[in-house]
Amino acid sequence: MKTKLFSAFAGCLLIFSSCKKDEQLPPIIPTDPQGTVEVRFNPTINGSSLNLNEIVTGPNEQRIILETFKFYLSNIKATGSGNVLGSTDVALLDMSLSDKSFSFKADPGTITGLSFNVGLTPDQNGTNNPNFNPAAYENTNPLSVYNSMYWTWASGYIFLKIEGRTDTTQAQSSSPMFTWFYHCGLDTLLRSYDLGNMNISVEAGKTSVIELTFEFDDLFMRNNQPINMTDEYFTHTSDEFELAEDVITNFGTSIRKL
Amino acid sequence: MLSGLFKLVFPALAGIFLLASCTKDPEIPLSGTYTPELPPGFPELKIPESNPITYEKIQLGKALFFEKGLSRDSSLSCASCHRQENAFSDPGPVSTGIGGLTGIRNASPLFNLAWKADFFRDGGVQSLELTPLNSLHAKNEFDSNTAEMLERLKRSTEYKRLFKIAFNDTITINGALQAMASFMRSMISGNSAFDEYLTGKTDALTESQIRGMNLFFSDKTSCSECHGGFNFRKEGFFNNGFFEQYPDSGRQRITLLESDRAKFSVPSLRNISLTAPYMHNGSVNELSDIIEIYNQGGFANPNKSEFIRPLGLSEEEKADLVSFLNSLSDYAFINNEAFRP
Repeated sequence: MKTKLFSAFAGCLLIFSSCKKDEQLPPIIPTDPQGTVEVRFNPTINGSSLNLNEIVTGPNEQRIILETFKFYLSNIKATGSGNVLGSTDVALLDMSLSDKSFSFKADPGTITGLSFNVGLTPDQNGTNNPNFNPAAYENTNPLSVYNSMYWTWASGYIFLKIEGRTDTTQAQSSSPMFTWFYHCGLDTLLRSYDLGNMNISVEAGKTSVIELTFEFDDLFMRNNQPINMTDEYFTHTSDEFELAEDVITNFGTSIRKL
Repeated sequence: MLSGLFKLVFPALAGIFLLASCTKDPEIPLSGTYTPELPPGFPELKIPESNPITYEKIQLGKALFFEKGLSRDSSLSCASCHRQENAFSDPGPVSTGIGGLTGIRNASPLFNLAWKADFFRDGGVQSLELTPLNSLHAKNEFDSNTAEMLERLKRSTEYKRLFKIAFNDTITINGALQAMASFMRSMISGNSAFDEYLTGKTDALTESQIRGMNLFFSDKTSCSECHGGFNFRKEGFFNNGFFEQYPDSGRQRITLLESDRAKFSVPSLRNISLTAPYMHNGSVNELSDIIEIYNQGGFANPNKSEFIRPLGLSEEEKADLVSFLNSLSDYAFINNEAFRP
């Protein structure tokens, strides 16, 4: 009896396994028909890698410590052959983090250009929207008040926030003590840029990287002369508008592809 | 036997649980939509659709208003600078924040904010809900940030309970801001001697106060041109010619317009005798000094209000005006238990 049962069981197994062998394996189809574009920033100061919270020589040959460097990019589009391959509405970059990048999905193809705004569009900035509530965003949203980029004494976001300390020319202490900050915003400072000359392939299911850089010293130039960070040590934009305009415009134009 | 007992006990327990769920929180005597009895002459309460006002939110907002954990080192709360005995203003010229850092403007009193369109002296913020963010983030105030502040709150089971009651939600920054705005909107002040006089109690004001009142509303002074209406203020930004120099650019900081330089929001004159010092920088201590400068027509300024001009007031008239302003104090408001921790 036991032998008959075992034979029947073994026979079934053989039949089933034989059937499997005869089936054709389905072709491997990528689950995601799009690729991922990662835009990565590699900022420099005096040509060297820019790291926050380190004493470095600033644009005016003064020792500085950079403590905060955050900025918004918006309306970001990767283009190729006259088409938009991929885009994202907004990204917040924080240069204090090891991850200085953001990503978005794109169709397969070749990216030849990247366009973006430095700053936020009036809609994103809540301009002319009396019901705009930046506190309603989820914590993970770039526009959340968690990011400390909303201007709490006025309506709107800081587009570019740079804070740090420097030596004064009068006194050089062991650690730079003189505080400076540049908070640039307002709709009128929204700037658009196009970076071309790219040849970056996007493949389905894969990540392509666009490496960008900017030189910190370039931000603090006016008429080919460095801006003295101890003389012009702050702007909330509206109180020192020209300084804010210089800094954010210089920043935008200094961004280039590596 | 056990099964039978279970059948008897379970429905009873379930019933108790359901009842407990429906019972109001014992620490919140009223629940649901906040429906205050408004002072005579006050317009309908203005509440944004995005933040309906409830007693539960007010209760939570009050707890947060007095919560020192909102500041970086847990040393300051909103009430540290907005004191009830001063109609929720700061008796100092400017407020002192974390580490002894000071602000640049006098802290405004807090009352009747439900009817206000713009906030801060320069009107930079249009939503009462967003105003606490300024103190939270400012380095010379709480020097905190949203994430750290919420983490501190989340350690409290009491706040978890209050957020659950108010919003049926966990602790969020949006909920915290809505609750604080709700509490501030509940701060309604309209019970002064002047208000009593308006309701027909003719002995509520002294003879001097009545003379001052008539002068206040007369064309001779034009005080009520800017300080009119139920709240003794009108919306807008004006330069009152009080100073020769204005290091603070005022409204211009928001609009960038030269025509807005040195203009500031018109303050309410309710509770004015309780809210010294005065002006945007807290540099004037006495109401009599204010009357005197207005009487002289103020200092020249290209943006000065047309209503600021020499008034030619007698000493008695000046004293009467001060006397009238004193009649605008609402002592019930500054002693109201509802606004205490």
